[in-house]
Order: sequence, then structure tokens, then C-alpha cells
Amino acid sequence: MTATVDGTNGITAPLAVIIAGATSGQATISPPAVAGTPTLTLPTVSGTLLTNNDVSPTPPVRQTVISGTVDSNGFPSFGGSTGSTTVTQSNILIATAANGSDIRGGVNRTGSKTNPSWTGLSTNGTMYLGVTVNADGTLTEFSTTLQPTYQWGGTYSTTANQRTFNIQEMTMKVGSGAAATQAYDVFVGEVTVAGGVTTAITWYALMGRYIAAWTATLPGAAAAISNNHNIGVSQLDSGMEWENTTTEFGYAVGDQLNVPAGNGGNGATFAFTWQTYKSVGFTTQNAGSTVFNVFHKTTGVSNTATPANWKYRTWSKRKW
Amino acid sequence: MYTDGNGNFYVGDCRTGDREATVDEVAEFEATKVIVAEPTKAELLAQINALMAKVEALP
Repeated sequence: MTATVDGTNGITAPLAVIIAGATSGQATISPPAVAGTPTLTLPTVSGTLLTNNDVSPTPPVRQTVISGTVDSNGFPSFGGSTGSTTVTQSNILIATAANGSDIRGGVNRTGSKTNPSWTGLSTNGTMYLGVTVNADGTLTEFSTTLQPTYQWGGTYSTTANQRTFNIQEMTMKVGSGAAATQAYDVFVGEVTVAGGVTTAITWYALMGRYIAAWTATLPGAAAAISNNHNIGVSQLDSGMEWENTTTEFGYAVGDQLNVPAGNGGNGATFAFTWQTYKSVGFTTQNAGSTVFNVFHKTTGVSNTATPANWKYRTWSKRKW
Repeated sequence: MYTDGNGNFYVGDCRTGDREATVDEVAEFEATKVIVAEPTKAELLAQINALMAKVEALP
């Protein structure tokens, strides 16, 4: 049998059922605001209903900034000015912090804040900026002079304010001087402080990945190339790739080559890519004018690449 | 071109703490580069002949 409460029989629609709390407060079960005939079937087991905040989807990448203002290259452009002891971002920052796993998958907290601000940035040297993701989805800023440690596994530092992230545990802990306790802390950038004020701001790359803008024309001999990926961790895969801009050796415009490390002698000549926690680059050999050789796309014949027929870029991404 | 002030020069993005190199610094740096020339035909032939001599000497 179905009992319908629809505004007839002296009851005025729209109608809501209000359930009073045990001591105070009340919960309201509301009907649809507009036309609609949903059926709500209650579960057959006991439990507490989830709210929107409880049902947070797995973030696209864990332990990182997942949203913030970017420039036309996709690089972080979070804002902030140097010259004082305060750095304030513009717009909304969204960060996600990992805390291991449970039976439903990875445990994460994701939060946001509009115009987050870091104060007290007056210790000369490098200061690292981070946010703590709170249970209610808000962010609380923090800064430290201690560079965070990212390691595959191992002991968490107990040094006061030293943060350690164990990658295979996907857990961040912060030292108190005596112990290390789990924290939903995410690093979002760093500043250089000189003379008691900030002189440079570096925001870390979103989602732990970076692709440089294209540079036209391959570099010549003995050229050092460096790009700032600003991912902020040193466990990286990096490389260099080309794209054809004028057809040659069987390659069409738009064809891309992944350029590995090594020197093929009489064959292809490559460049080693190097990486740090903020930069990626490569240096070309100091030999002759033949800096890069490529194999013909179909015949395999080795040819000297015409530098102006190609463009190149570096890339880096987190291993985790 | 950028420099870290310690004789290292590069193109691309200026790293934090580095600066743009002056025209004079770039010129001085370029002058220090030693580009090894491609071997000449005679040099390559000499290498081949030397290798052939080693091959012939093998038992």
C-alpha cells in the first residue's frame, strides 16, 4: 500500500518532513523543488547517510595542487608579490593530501581556499609554503625553512617541523621534536628570502607534471638547455621530444620523436637529459656541426637533422 | 642566456637565484667553447686502416 502526501487533505504543498533532534536541532526531508518523480529506496543495513563532503571522488593525482590559476602554457600562475614578508595568492587554490589507503581505495582530503596567504616569511634562505587540508575542506597555510623529504620508504623524521612523505605509503608526517605524526600537508611552492623579505616566488606545478613550451629549431653544438618544471620532488621521469615542422627524412609535419639518452656514434646522436627537483635540461655534445642525427622514417638511413625543420621541448612527471 | 654566476650558462628558463648573462659574459663564454671538428676523410681512412691492421694481426 502506498500513502501519498501531496498537498491534499488540508496540507499545503510543497511539503517537507521535519524530524526533531534528540535534544536540539532538526533534519528536514524535502521534496523535489520542481517536477520530478524520484524513488528513494532506503538501504537494508544500518548506517549513517553520507553528505556531499563525504563522497569526494578520488583526485586525479594525489598529494598535489590540483587546481589553481595557470598561464597560457599551463604553468602555475598563482600570483603573489615579492618585497615583503607576506605572499598572497590570487583566486582559488585546490589541493589534495594523501593519507594511505583503506578498503575503499586511497584516503585523501581535498580542500580549497580563496586567496590563501603566507605571512612571516622573513628567514633568509629558502622557505617552503604549504597548506594543511582540514576535515571540512578548508585549507590552512603553513611555511617552514625545512625542505620536505620525499622518499620511497623509510623512517619519518621526528625533527620539529620536518615533513617526510613516504611514497609507497602515500603518507605525510610532520616531526614534533619527539615523534612524527600524520598530517594532511601539501607543499604548493617556495620563496627565496633575502634581507628579511621575499625576493622570488616559485609555485609548484599542478598535478606533478610538466611539459615545456616548444622551442623552434634544434640547438647547436655545446648548448646547455634548462627548463623549470617546478614539480618540487626529485622522483621524476624526464625527457626531451621533437616535433617535425618541415617535412624531412620521411617525417611529416606533426610527427613527434622521443629522444632518448645516449650517443649512437655514426648513427643517431642524442643528448642526456638531467633533472633536479625543480629543473630539467640537456646539453648537446661539443663535437662538429652534426648535433642530431635521425634515422629516415622508413628506410632507416641516418641523416643529419636540419635544425630549423624541428622544434623541441623537455618534459617531466612524477614517478608516483 | 642565463648564468648562475659561476661560469655556467644556459638557455631556456632562468632558474631562481640566477640572472640574465651580460653580452660580454656571453661572448666570453662562447669563446671558451671547444667544438671538436668532424674528422676529415683522411683521418677516418687512417682509423679504418689502423683497425684493418689490427684485424689482420688477429690469429
